[in-house]
Parts: sequence; C-alpha cells; structure tokens
Amino acid sequence: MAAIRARTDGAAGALVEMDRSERDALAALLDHLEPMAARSPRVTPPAYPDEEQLEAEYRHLTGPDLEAARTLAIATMRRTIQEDGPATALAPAEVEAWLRGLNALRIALADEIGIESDGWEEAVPPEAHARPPYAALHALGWIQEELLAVVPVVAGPATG
Amino acid sequence: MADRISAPERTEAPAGGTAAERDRPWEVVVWNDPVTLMSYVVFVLRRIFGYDEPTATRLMLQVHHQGRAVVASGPRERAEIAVAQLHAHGLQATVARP
Repeated sequence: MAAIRARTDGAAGALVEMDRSERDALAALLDHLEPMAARSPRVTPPAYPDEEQLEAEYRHLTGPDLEAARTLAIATMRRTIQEDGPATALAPAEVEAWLRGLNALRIALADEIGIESDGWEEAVPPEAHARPPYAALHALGWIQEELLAVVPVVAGPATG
Repeated sequence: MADRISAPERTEAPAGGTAAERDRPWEVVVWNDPVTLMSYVVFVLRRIFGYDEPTATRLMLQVHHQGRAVVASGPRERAEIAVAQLHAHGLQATVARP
C-alpha cells in the first residue's frame, strides 16, 4: 500500500513508498492525462480575461515558459516514479514538481469530466467515487495531500 | 529635413487614465477552483508571497467561500509576475485593474 513520509535520512523532501504495480498505474495515468493537461483551458487560465491586448502580451511573454514548466514537472514525476526500489526519496524541488504536476493533471481531469463548481462530490452517486475517472481524481489528490503534509513551506521566488 | 516637433494643440490624459489612476495598485486575484486542494492553495500562497499560515489560510477560505480573493496588489508588472507564478502552480489567477 502506497505511503508518503518524511525522509528518514534527515534531508528535506519526501519519501514515496510505492510497489511496482502502483508505480506502473501512476505512470499510465500520467501518460493518459498529460495530453489532456496540454489542451485544458483551465490548466492555462487567462491573466486578463477582459483585456484582449494585455492578455495577448501576457500569453506571448509567459506561455512558452509555463508550458515548459508543466512539461518538466510531469517529466520529473515520470522519472522518479520509474525508479527501482520500494521507496523513492524526493528532493524538495522534486516534491514541488510533483505538487505542480499533480495539480495540473487533476484540473485537466476535472475539465474533462465537466466539474465546474463546488459540490461536485455530492452531485454524483457515492459508488462513482470508487470508479474512474473519479477514483483517479481522488488518488492523485491523496498523493498531493500526503506530500503537503510532510513538506515544510519554503517561501521564495517560484522557479518557472 | 523633418519639421520641428511641436507641442500638440491640446493635451489629453495618456491611455490608461490619469496619473492618479495609473499609480493605484493593480490587484492579484485568485479564483476558486472546485478540485484544487485547500491545503495546496495555502502552500502556494505561502510559497509565493511569504505569508504566514494564518494569513494564507484566511485568504484561501475567502477564495473558497466568496469565489475570489485579492491576495496581493502593486504595480502592474509585479502583479503580472505574481499571477504568472500562481499560474505556474496551477491556480486560477488574474490581474485586475485598480
């Protein structure tokens, strides 16, 4: 059973414990969801929704960097998931990549399902939460929540 | 030879309003997203703006209950950089005119 803990070597970051089948399932989910993230409007929201010219300038300035950062975050997840062994030690930058990647994938999935407002958990039958796509949304959210529980916040300029 | 540059016959306020309007800070607005974790929003607000946990939690709850919250304000360029950082973390954020 997967678990996420503080690192046992005293270093900052997190320790992700997953067996091979869990790693394979998560890797498959990444492969499935990454193209959705690339085309999801909610993953690349506007900065100036009502100002066409400012928005065009913003897109021009930031679009490629934001896309590259998302691609790198998901690539970092994929690389670390595929490491051998029962536990993978993540450095703080890798934890942040996981947090960003997981968030993008969950938003893309929510976009695909059509979740647009609060209360969506109650809007579907309880048994639906145990099946795809909701099960995937919850599983990715669980990983994100567990990572947040073990990593301290380091304030500072975000990279990418 | 070019004509001498002359002063315009009448002056108008530059685009974007009066100097006083341009000096007013622009707002960084974070919008509610139904699947983004509350704990993640707190993490990102602390990470980007250096807020303490109570401040970040108060802003997150405002986003959650009211649909939006102004999380920072300042010159347009700085507000835009903050929004780009929020976008890099996957939050729904916009720059709003003063």
